[in-house]
Amino acid sequence: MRLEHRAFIYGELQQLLDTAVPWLREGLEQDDEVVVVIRESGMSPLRDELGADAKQIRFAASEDFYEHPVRTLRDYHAIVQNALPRTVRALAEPVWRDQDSRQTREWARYESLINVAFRDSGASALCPYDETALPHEIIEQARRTHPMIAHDSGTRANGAYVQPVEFGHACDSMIRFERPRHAEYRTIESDDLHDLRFFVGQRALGHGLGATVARTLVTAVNEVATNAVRHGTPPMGLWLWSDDDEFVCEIGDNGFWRPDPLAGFVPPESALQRGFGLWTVRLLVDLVELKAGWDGTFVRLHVRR
Amino acid sequence: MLRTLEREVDEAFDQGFRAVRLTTDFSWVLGEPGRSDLSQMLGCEHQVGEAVSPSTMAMAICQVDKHACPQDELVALRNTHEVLVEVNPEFDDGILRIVRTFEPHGLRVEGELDAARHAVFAEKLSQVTCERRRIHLDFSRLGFIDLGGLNLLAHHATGLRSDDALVLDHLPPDVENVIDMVGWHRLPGLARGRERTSSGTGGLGS
Repeated sequence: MRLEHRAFIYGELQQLLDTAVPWLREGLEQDDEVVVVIRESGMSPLRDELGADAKQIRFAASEDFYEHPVRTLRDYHAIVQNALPRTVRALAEPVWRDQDSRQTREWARYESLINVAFRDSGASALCPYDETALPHEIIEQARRTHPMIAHDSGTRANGAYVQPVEFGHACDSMIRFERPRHAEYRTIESDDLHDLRFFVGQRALGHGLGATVARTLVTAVNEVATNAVRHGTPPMGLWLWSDDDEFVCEIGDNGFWRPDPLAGFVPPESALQRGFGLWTVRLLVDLVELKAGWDGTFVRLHVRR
Repeated sequence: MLRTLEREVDEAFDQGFRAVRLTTDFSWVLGEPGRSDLSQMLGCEHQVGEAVSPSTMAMAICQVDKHACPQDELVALRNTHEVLVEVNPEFDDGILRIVRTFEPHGLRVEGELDAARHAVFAEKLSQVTCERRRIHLDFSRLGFIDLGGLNLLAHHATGLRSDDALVLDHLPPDVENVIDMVGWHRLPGLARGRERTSSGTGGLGS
């Protein structure tokens, strides 16, 4: 069964309630697993409106649920898998807090990836966008990432929708890849990466990252470096630097790799599946950026203090 | 017995041997019916120690079956010996050390496992894989395992009987954190084993 992924662009909370409540009740009638992820501010009014029906619905606050796009995708994936054979109906309202343009880009990419990750799940999603509170840019992106748009009077196909691969390419083209002059560099010569792990671990701790975060980063760096040794073209190397709160490691090689813009975003079924490594790397750090061109392949890992 | 030991050591040196090595299995003493307590045995061990220790050229290995006496007696026995003998590691390159374990059956993986060491680890893992015995991997002294290593474990586990699992004992918190993040269900055939204890592993020749 195909996914139904619709955006609902609204101006007042009452408008959202009038559309969401009947839609959620319809899900309960069809014996769907009904999930509501909504901002704190909308939680109580929605519960009140649903009355006794709220008891059959799982609620979560968007502020907790939307912290890291790849992890959120993993969590929705778990909800869909655990509900089987029932299908999921989710009211899914992302939070767009004080984000920089990179984070906004990654959350927009996430909305687009929903269309791929749950394509045949039979799940149904309604994503509310508060037009009065959100920047115009985010509303425009919602129109490009949702194949359907809900209105007060019903749902229609969205002509502005962009296919996820194309959208992913557009996101990738926004990635800026300047490297500061003070970045430290180490060459990578073999898959014996003991010294590299030690170096990254020491610098990460020196930057003030917690021990667990530092070790998790080391695991991610090790994976990318191993891939560079296995599949890349020499010379391979690692740069690292810190920038305010952010600590960045970049692994590069001279090879030309054309990654699928969806690579490593969709949760794999198991570790034995292709793409498990890159997906896990994305999960382990705050942000992964890829840049592949004629000058080489570069993977940048960001962690915040 | 002590007199025999002393005489043999003296004779050997008289005959010009560079060193003397002794070994004996004491388990039978512990298993004797009507044995009262350990004090007689400990006294004997002290005297063996005295017979051997004054010389750096005489070495003795006292073998004890760990099933022959309770844990507290085993500890008391261990304390009468300066050195504890362990099986030779299956592999040790200074970064990764792999040691056979017998109870439970499996391997202890110490240090760091990365792609440069996958092949040797896979080989050792295959060697301890036999039909009827569940494999435990003791990770209490594991400093690092890469994602490829986790993949290798899951891959190995798919070759086991369908109801069997590869048990990971004493997982370091950082490794457990990574597995929790990807989800145990994505590593089919791997099972969480014994919890990690802060004191590490103990006991004679575990």
